Amino acid sequence: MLFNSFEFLIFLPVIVIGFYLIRHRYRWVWLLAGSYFFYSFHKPELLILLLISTVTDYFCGLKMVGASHKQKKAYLTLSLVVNIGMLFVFKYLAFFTNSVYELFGFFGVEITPEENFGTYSFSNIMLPVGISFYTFQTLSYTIDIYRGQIKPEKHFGIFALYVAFFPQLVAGPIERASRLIPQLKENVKVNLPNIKKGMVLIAWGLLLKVVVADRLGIYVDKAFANPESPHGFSLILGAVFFMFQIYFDFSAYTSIAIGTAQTIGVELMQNFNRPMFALTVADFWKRWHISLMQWLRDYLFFPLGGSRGTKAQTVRNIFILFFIVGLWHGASWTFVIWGLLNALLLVLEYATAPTRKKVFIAIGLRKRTIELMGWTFGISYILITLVFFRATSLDNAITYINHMFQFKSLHVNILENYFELVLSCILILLVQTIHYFKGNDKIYELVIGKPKHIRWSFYIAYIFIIALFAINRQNTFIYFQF
Amino acid sequence: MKRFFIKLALFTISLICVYGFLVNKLSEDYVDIYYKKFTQKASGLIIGISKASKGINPAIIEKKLEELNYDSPIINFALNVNNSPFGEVYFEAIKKKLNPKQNNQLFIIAVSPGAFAAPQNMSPEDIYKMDKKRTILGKVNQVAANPNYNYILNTYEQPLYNALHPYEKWTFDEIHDNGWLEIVPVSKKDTISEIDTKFWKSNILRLFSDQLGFQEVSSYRIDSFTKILAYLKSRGDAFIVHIPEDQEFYELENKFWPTFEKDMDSISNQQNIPFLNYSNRIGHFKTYDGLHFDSTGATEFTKMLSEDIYNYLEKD
Repeated sequence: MLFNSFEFLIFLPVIVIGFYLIRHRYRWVWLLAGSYFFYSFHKPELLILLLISTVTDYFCGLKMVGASHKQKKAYLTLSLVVNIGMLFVFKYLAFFTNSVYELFGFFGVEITPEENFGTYSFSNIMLPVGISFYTFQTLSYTIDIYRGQIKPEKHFGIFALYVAFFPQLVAGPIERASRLIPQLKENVKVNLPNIKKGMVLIAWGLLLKVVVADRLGIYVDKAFANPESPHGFSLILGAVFFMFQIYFDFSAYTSIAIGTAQTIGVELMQNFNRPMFALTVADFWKRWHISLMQWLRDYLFFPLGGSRGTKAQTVRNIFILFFIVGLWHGASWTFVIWGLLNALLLVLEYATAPTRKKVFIAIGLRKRTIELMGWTFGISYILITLVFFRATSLDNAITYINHMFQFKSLHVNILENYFELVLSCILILLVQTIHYFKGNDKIYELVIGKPKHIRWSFYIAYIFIIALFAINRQNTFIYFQF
Repeated sequence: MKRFFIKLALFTISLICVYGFLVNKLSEDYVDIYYKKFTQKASGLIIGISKASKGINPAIIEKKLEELNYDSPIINFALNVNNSPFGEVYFEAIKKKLNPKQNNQLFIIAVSPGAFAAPQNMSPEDIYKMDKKRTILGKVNQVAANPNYNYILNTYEQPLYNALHPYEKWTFDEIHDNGWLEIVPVSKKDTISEIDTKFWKSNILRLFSDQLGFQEVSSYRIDSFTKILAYLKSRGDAFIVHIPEDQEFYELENKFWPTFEKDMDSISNQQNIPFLNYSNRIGHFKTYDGLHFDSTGATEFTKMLSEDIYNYLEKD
């Protein structure tokens, strides 16, 4: 079910009202049933994988209690094999087999899937929505038990709810068991201010999605459909709009997820901290998709040695980390290249930091100027790397970037609609201004606690903005595909 | 708590009211190039894809066949290759569209290979589901209402501020009340230049070629087509028509379905419905992109078509 759908507008109040009407000890049943309904709304078969993951990790978690180190390792391995195995089969198998075929083809050996597997092709395998998110969430549970950081959850229903909790099941934030499970057990009382805050976040997320992100998406789709366009400025604008589109789209989803959870008394973690105001690429990655980056830091980067080893080891670890970041986002070389390009700049930032500092002091640059330079360079670099993220192939990405800098014309209005173009730019500035002052997490302060006339002005403005300017197309959230 | 629910209800009702007002306002003016095809019951139909939508003007046919006392109005109910390929979805819409009480109706069924294409190896059930989900005909339940809110709510993807000021539509097209989508090469604001024509032609050829690469002639669509023919024949006189296009497109279509004309001929014989094949008239009528007739081309073609239909019926 989509957050920006009519069905969700019915589903949410039913779940929230039902939640508060039901006695505490049965609430998990209600939320679990709701979560499974939410997830399987369009494709009930998706539940099978979710259930396999849930049962495996519940079983492995319990079995690790009091087990020997060797046995613990065996159960952890089982959990890793099942979860990563499913992720591999459903997300990466087609990509890896095609890459192998291409590699053989490069050496002159032609192998086609048909020759090996009859008429069946791995490309036909459907990618289950949200599999990357819930796989990482459940894996953190078994790894934490293995490390002795948490105790296993004995209540199967609560554990199943932790895996399938509908607000964050499909696109995060990726929560840890130590934070989420205690909240799911809590006897939540009706708290009107909290519910109101949640609703403001939901309303903000919806507005961000249907008025801003989807609007930018129209221009982006057109720009990326014609990477050979002679209009370099329109391609640059397409890349700029995509950077904001993906941010607003994902940020919108996160706001709705956090707001939805808040209405039933659960506080989810923040996924963004004003990433567009990052002063360096390293800073950007601390502010962008925080739950994923913290997961990868704790379960991949640190175990590899993080930045505690030699410089060469740190560089290697950064490249491994961002190779996985790229691959996590999509089974395609475009995502891998995107990840590696980010790693490259992070390594350059890391390696040149002392020298840069000396140079800036020597030429007497002020702190503000250095920050502005860092921001301009960092954001421009991220913008260019995101072309790989959005393009449908490596060839298209390279063509797109190549044509971005061929300034043969000043034409930017590829939609043939100046009003929409100007409106898109104004909306970006407006949202960024709000984020600058309120951050991603305190949006409700614009309304809650303000005098009545200000609150009602906001409500009326909201009604008119949504009714007049929403793009009436039910687009899925971009991060659903991951 | 009670006050909270009252405020929430007030907010929701206000949003619905504003939204409803805008949808209603929109329905009074221009919605999109297909809206007017969905605002009336029909007593005769032109069906097919975009070539028919732009290439056949029902008014000319009605005028020419006036003395034969066919039921009217004849509506051009052809959309485009993505929205009105032959299939059960189109068939269901046709049944809903026709006036049930009349049995002296005229039907022109324009055929081209694209209208029978579907993704390779797709089962009939999946093609039906795809048509239901993706085509305008599949999304819209109400095909003959004025105003047609069902059409707007299910298909309109633009922001609703368009209801409050004249929509900046493509200046060259005009949708008529009878469903004919007229392409006017010289509008008040602009003129279609030769450069535009060349660009569109190359672009549309590329798109066509790409699309046909992963598609095949679907037996499901052929079956539905024959069912549609049988149904329409029971309601009046039907004619299968192959509208001409430029040579490059003709060759591309031939490559996709080499026996197309022969197969249409055979279906026409089986169903006892005349097949008016104009593929020998390539290049005779003015197109704006090599595939679709502009206003002049459409008018000339429809005149010739109605003349041929008239002669056929007279002879009969």
